[in-house]
Amino acid sequence: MKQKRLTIDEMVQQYPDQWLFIVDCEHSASTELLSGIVAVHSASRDVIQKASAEYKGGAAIRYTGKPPEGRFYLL
Amino acid sequence: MQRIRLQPVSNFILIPIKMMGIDGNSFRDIEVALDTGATTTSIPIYVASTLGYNISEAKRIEPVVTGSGVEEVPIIEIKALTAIGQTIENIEVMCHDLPPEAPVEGVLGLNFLMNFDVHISFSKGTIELT
Repeated sequence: MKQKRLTIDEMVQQYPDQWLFIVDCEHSASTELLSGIVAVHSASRDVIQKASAEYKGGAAIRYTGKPPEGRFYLL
Repeated sequence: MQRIRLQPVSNFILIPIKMMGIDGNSFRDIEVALDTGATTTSIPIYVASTLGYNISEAKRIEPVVTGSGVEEVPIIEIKALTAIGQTIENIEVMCHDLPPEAPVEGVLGLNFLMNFDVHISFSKGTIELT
């Protein structure tokens, strides 16, 4: 079955707190991801890394969740 | 001038970056943190490998001071990196995996940003490169 093209907002609604591997990407002139087809989704980043390794074209990777509340970061 | 909206999902300034593969055709688009404290842009090792760059034959390996100490990090040159609508060709990036707890997979550092003027408006929720 052919997967449906989704906007980023639709992806966030449909796949909450998931890592997404997105193909057939549509970008704005300022490089914002506008839409695409979610080829793989998982709560595990490892699954997305594996999908990325196996796919040779152009693709985007996004996480639809939010960082935990009350956590501080120094990268 | 190119502009993107600041994403209200966290206290990070999340920037989507698009990296071109060694074949000049494939790409990966990931979200990284804008980091003016980073001398060099960093990307995760798996993304570099996926795009055909050979980490074991890195241009060089440099000691990099991180928040947790000094690490030896491979530096590679990628064909092109695009962020906020602006592209730099043949740009060096560090191949470095942030901890899994990090909400981003890399940082957009000064070796990209210093090619432009960067305007961040928290009141308007925008970031511009000119």
